[in-house]
Amino acid sequence: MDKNLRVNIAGVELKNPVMTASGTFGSGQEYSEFIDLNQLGAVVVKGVSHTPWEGNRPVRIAETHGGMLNSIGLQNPGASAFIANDLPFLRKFDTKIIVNLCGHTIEEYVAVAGDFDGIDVDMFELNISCPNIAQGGMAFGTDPRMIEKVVAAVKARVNIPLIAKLSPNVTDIGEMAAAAQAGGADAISLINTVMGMKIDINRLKPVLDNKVGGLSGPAIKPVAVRMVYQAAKRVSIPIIGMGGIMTGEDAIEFIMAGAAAVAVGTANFVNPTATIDVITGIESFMEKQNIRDLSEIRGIIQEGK
Amino acid sequence: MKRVESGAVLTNSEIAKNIYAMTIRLPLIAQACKPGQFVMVYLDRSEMMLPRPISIADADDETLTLIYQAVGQGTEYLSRLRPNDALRTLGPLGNGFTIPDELTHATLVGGGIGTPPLYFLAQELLERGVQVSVYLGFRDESIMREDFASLGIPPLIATDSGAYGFHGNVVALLRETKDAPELFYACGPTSMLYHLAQYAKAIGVPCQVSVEERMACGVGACLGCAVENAARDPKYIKVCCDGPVFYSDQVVLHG
Repeated sequence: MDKNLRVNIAGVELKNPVMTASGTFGSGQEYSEFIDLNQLGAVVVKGVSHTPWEGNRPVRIAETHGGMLNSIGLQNPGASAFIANDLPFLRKFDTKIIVNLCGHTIEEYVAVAGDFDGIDVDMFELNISCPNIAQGGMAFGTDPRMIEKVVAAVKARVNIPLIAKLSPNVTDIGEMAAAAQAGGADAISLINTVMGMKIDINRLKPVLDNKVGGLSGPAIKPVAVRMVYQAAKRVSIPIIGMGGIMTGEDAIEFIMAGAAAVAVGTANFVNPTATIDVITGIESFMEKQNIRDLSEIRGIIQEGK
Repeated sequence: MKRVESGAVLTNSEIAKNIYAMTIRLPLIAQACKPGQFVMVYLDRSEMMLPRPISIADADDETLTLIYQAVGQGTEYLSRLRPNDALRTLGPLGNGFTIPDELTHATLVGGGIGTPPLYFLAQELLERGVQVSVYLGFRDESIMREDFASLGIPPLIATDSGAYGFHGNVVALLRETKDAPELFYACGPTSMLYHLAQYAKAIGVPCQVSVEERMACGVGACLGCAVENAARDPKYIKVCCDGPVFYSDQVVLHG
């Protein structure tokens, strides 16, 4: 049976709905020894800021039941080093490149977007949801007025589609999604990590040097699916769903909740070929269920469908 | 080349209290690896998702030997694996020890569970005709004494408890013997590496140290395993792919 996995996000045509989640896939090169990057719908690279960010002090990682906490702090060499050193490798592949943009202030977000003037990338993802930096990040993503303001400011500066990446650490995700759309976002992605903490009871202190960090992995998947479902009720722009996707079946849940595409994150650490396995899993589900196009099941659990 | 390889556990036995030696049939990784490199061992348990980084203690054409301490749930789970159980492994990872062409005399300094990768290194050095001395420090019970002895390089042992050999830490033992090699190779607790690095600097001998930090991916993507860069820019470098072996003046070690 001829299956159509292609999906169009804000005018950008992806060969399939599977992308990588920012911060879990480096700049692509790190996993190119294990998988063929040409097979991915898109590669979402690690967060990039206008100037280099040094990141948080270790310990930065803690394993938890069915997931992990991280407090990396968006360590990155800055946009110009990223463009010079990382981008040329990735551009050799037939996949879409989505650059995750970070900042502490609206001016910094606009500045890093401007660093990509004339640079060949396909979309931006605005990281207004990182829980691991003191200013910016999640401080923007938990206030609907700030979301609208920062999205609008960056949108005015760029001429490729802009995705707003939302935080789950809010009371009403629908309100945040609506604010991103009102600000002019071409798509939204969710969820970023869920704020969490782990305590080393023998050392009488938190495991992470930053004390708190972002929880990811299968442990957060039900939260993520619920939020995609709720956000989809409030916006008409495409949704990229993520949070604990390990298999094709997991991805299908997000698509049924209303996601146009999905991203695979922590699974890469558990299985370097996870992204390809998710694509294969989606295909075999479609085969089994006689689905020709994912649009047949997208948002199918939404009332009125 | 890094790869994911699955293989059968051949042996897995306790060689000292809570310390296990496991041999696994992993020919591709075993043939590709060099001393100082490590593997990530996947537990394939949904509640313990992250792979465990473990240094390579020995390798031949067919098998990899890992010597590890059961310190938490993950390594305790590993210690219960039996022959013929399958293990999924990612490797070889990291840069390994550097062996200068002109090296004639090296001293290996191990602390506790940092000892195993030095055994793999010792064999390589001996094959290259390098004169090797070995100093090992433990809290109480020593490991791998006979393994080094059978290579013809019986180690000098220090124990904190005084149960065996020199009573005190391994750097103090080293100071007493006044061994002056061309190069130190070390793996062990950070405080041991710190004190050794101080000593090496004082006597003008370069020192390669193998460091560890919590890591998730093992391939440079997650940026979890940060170690402070002595050169400052960038502030943090990665244990998994910039290391795990560094010259002691490349990284900031804490006593």
